[in-house]
Amino acid sequence: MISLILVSHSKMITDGLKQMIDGMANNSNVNAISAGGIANGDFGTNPITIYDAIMTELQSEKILIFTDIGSAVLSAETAIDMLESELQNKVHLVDAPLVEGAFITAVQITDLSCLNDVIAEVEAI
Amino acid sequence: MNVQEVLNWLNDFATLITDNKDYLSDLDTSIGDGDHGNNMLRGVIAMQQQLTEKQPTTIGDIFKVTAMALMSNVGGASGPLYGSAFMAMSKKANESEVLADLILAGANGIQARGKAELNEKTMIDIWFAVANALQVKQLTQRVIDDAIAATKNLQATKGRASYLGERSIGHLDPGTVSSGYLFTAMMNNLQGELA
Repeated sequence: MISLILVSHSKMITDGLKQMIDGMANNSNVNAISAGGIANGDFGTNPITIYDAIMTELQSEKILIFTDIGSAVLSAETAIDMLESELQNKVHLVDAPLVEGAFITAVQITDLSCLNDVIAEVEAI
Repeated sequence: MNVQEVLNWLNDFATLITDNKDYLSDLDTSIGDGDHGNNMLRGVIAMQQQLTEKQPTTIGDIFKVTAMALMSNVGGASGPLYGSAFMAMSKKANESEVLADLILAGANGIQARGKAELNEKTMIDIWFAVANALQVKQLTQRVIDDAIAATKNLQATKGRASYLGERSIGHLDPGTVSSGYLFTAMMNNLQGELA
């Protein structure tokens, strides 16, 4: 299993993207988690929400984080810093557009053997 | 420096943010997305609630509660940046309660998170200015005010304001102004640590 953690300033965006991946990518090797927004529905990103999402996916072989802009990246980096160092190896912050990057990854990932190729492809978008 | 003084410091910081919320958002409207005041207000309200609920009994724990509250509630880049500062100060407080050491640890924490260099019109400019002044026992309100004023003529090359290029010149950096409130509140409550 590969986990995709979706981070945007808007929870509606990551909820929608998760729906799209669940409904259209049709890939049982992938689990997408919506981790956008902050408490009470305001816009923003929250390192603790991202950290908690990572902690629910520890059984996965790899955890990929996709972000939109600015503080989403800072918040994801903060969440990764909070992990034990052996867990950090399991997590990768993908430098790709949130929607296209996460969706293409969800379609193309079959197992760990193709992971690096897929990441290279979406990071080149 | 004792627990009560540090709590008073943070409460005064919350008051200054509350009183100047609109000013901070106005500054941010010029060079950012206009929400720094509201973001910081949400953060300091959560900070006060959690400090009251969790009743931390050491300075390290106070900073840790503050870090988590700001990180989870501010929402913009200031959340992880202030959070990283207070987390670094929390760790430092377990070995040293010298104020200059704590603020320097906080400045290094922000720099490690945001990867900014000095003079890029970011909050690290004021954090290092205050840390350096504390080191030589020369922190005054003037040092804080000068550090804030100095951001006006800089061009931002980090963060949202950097998208504006040269148009960022002539505006104060909102994160530096809110950090200034933190340090003003610190001076007012920790006079004994300054001399």
